[in-house]
Amino acid sequence: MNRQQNQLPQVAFSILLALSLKPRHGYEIIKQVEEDSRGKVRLGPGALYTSIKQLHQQELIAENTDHTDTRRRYYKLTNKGLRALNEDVEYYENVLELARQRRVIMSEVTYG
Amino acid sequence: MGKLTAFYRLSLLLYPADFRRRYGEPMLQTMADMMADEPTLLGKIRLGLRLCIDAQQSIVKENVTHKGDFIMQTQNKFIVAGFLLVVALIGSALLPLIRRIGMDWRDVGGMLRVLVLLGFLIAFIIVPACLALVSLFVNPLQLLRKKTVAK
Repeated sequence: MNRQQNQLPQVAFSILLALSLKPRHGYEIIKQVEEDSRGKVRLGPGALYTSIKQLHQQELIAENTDHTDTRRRYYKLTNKGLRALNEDVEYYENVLELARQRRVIMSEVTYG
Repeated sequence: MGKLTAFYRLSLLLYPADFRRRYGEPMLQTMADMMADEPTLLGKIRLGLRLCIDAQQSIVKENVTHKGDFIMQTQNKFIVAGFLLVVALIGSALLPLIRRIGMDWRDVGGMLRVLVLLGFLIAFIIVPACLALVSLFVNPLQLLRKKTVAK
């Protein structure tokens, strides 16, 4: 399968990254995503649970029943989810490395 | 904040039923957590507006995905094909009627009358007929009665 078919959407990637530390409930995920992105990605419940539904269907996350809070639903990363996250991180590492080599991260465009 | 929660709960009705049943309560809880974390009234208002936009976007997205899934299911393809056939039949039945009236495509006033007639036809005959057809497979009253209780 090629990279484009495999790659996670940005929100899904952010959610998986937020769940990589520990199982979290909805609001904790939102806060962690916001913190990880330095305030650039701000999710609402709608966007969050739309992505959670897709991640659930793809078996990248699962519900975590091992908690005492009955009001909230917790989610955790599955092994498949961790693999998908690692693949994406690896991809971004390569892209970043390439960008550094080509000196793309600059203040202005200078050809030649 | 009770009113806002009630309003948000009401907006959940616009999501497809299976999504609402599964994620309705966690969404409400998340929304309540977000509101509780905002200390100022201005912050709550700003968050309320953000939640409205978020709900609007996700309602559209979920419904489009849901309808797409519905059409892609083999048995539903027949329903959609049947629906399109009915629309085509009604359309082809209307054309001779328009010709009999002596309609000319360049006659703007006459075209408007036909459009109004078509509007009535769609609103009072085609849409109720389609709803009746859908209700053969899904019971809307049963859907309304189901509460947004988490599994």
